[in-house]
Amino acid sequence: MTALMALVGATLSLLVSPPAAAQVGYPPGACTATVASSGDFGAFPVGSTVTLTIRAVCTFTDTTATVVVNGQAAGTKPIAPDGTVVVTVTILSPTELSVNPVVRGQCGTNTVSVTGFSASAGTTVTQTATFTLACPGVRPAARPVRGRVAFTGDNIARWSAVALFLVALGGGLVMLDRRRARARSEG
Amino acid sequence: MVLGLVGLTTVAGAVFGAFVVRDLRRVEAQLRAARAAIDQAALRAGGLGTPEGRAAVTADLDAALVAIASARATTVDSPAISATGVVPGLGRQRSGLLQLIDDSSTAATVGRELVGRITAVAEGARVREGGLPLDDLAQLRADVGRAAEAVGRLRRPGSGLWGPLGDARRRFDELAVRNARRLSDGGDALEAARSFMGAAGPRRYLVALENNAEMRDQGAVLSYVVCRFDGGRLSFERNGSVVELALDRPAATPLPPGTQEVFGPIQPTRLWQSVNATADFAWSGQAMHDMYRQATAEAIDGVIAIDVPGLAGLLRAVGPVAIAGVAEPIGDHNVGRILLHDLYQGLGPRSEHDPRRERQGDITEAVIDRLTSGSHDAVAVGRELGEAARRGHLRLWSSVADEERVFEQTGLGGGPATALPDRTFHIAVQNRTATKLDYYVKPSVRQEVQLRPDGAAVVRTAVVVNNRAPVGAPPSYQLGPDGITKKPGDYLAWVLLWAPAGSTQAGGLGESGLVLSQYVVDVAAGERREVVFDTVIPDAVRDGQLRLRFVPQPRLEPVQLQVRLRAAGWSVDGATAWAGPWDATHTFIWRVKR
Repeated sequence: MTALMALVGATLSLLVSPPAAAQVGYPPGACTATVASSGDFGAFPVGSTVTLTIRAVCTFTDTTATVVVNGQAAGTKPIAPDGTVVVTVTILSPTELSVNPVVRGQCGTNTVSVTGFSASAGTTVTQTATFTLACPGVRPAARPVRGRVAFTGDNIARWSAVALFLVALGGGLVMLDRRRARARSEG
Repeated sequence: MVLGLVGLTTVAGAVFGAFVVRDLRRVEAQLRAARAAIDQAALRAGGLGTPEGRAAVTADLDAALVAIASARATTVDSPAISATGVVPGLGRQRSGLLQLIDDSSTAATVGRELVGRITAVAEGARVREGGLPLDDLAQLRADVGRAAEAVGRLRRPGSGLWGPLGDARRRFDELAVRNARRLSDGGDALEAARSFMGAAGPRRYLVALENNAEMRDQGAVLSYVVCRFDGGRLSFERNGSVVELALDRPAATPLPPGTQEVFGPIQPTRLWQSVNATADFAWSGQAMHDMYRQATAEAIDGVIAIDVPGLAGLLRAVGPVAIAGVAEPIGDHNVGRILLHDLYQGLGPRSEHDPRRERQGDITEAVIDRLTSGSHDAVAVGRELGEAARRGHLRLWSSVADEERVFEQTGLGGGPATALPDRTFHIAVQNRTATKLDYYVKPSVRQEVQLRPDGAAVVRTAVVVNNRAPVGAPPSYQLGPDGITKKPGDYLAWVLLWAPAGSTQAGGLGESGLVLSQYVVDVAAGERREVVFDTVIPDAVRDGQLRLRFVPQPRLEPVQLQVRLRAAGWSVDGATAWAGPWDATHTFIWRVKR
């Protein structure tokens, strides 16, 4: 009898509180942007020194990160206490970049990837950034348009204090604005 | 002789001019006094919800009207100013000055009359046994509509005025148009509020209870109430945990591309706890509507989202309430501590199904019980709800498109991009765990705005996540660990910055009408971590103004915000630094000139 009642109780509690499996995906959990892009850092001619400060979405938390430029190993760089990695690229020629070491570059888009451990992801993550090597006679690739979302809206009003709007009308008294007053006193 | 006449005329002109200037300065001083009185009234306008506040605003407007009348009398009685009427070209200016003074007087009179109407409504308006004064609101709506028309008629384009007087006339006309529209919007809001409260038929609402100890863009939706309005009469149906509303598949609400990319992985159309991770409450409201219908096969007409500070406001209006299992009465002064800390004490990390943990629904039920019995000052209740909405602690979504449009226009609903999207920042620190650590997490924001010679603004935003959870505490439901974090007190901060539409920042993409970038950083108990965003706003200066708008995340306590403008090579009118609690939307306007 006791076992039967326990079984009934357990069934009832399942009906009231669905098992945890039904809430898979909650909570959001570890950072999942393990491969992410910081976007394009702009166009630079030969002879420029480009400083890329790269911050991973899943913030780096180790001491060093591995750098790859255009698919070539480019050593390691320190991770700053704020989680950023600074990669300084000197454009030696249309085909050579110095990131200490020297690696192959190319006119147009060049890609810098930084890989390091992130505690918020619980694994290594890779953040990429690109820049354009502007060569004479070579048109740079179009930069992706970011964040252009058309949106219209009106000013804010609050129904519970509508008379507030009217008192602002006393700005018929804007004719007294301070600039005019100052002009008169200086005149 | 001729020279003597010329000299005499010059001297006479100078003397005449001196008298004109003297009298105009007197007029100016009187109008400045009127302006000061109106500014004072504007500062007090937040107190319109109390009899004392309304009396003070009325007194200020009366003082302004007296000063305006004095200015008119000085203008009319001044022989020097009157004499300008016969000088070709100056006569129009004199009549223009009088017209502007008269229009100011009309505007202030309309304002005073409207305050009088609000006073009359407030003194009679009560919430009686859950019944809201819809007839009073209808009358007020009509009054506001008439005021909007009266103010709109004050615009006089093509006045032919020049110099400072012409500038003043143009600014007044702009103000008249803007405020007529605001009044019209206010009237629309009153009408939307009436229909939302069942003036045109019964309405049923999901009240999403947002828990500020587990933050998404707002507090996570962990419990709910269902209520009804019928002819303005409020009634309670039921409350419960969102676990009861579990969905086995996502609702059909479409996700915009940016929302899908950033928030799709946390299933915002299937998981209630994820539905308001996006900043766009218009989307979240639609999603909750669809999710509720799918979970229950029941229809609702809208969503009311309210968090713990919002509940505190209602408790301020109706007084403390009692709920089972809690010894002390719960009022505005202790609801945050009790709901978001005390009730979690003694619960182990795996207490998802403990009925003690989420009691917001019980308190909401108790507040509704209080409203539906006895009599309450409707204006006081309305004032608290208005204040909660202003600070982001109360949001509305309606399935009726016209109502929803009004809610978004007036800031009662919608997301941060409903106004000035190309000048708006919004920042959220969200909790990627199921702990209730946001009770202890205190973010702050420091922003430095650098204005370049080309008029672009380069903005560096530093978000500091300060985790004040106790160090070395034992595992618990509130502190974790919860399987994602390792130690009690570990916080996984999801730091999201929405920047102005049209701006650029690393990793930015369009979401909620703005440009969103994100970082996730772990912050142990007792630690602080800083995350920095760099944003470039092209063509930031418009019509000699740099304007930036900041929409807050509605946390248990407001985030501390610092903003500093650096504009080398520009002259800036106004203070270039501001610091304070980010407890409502702030708009900074700097007049700049090169």
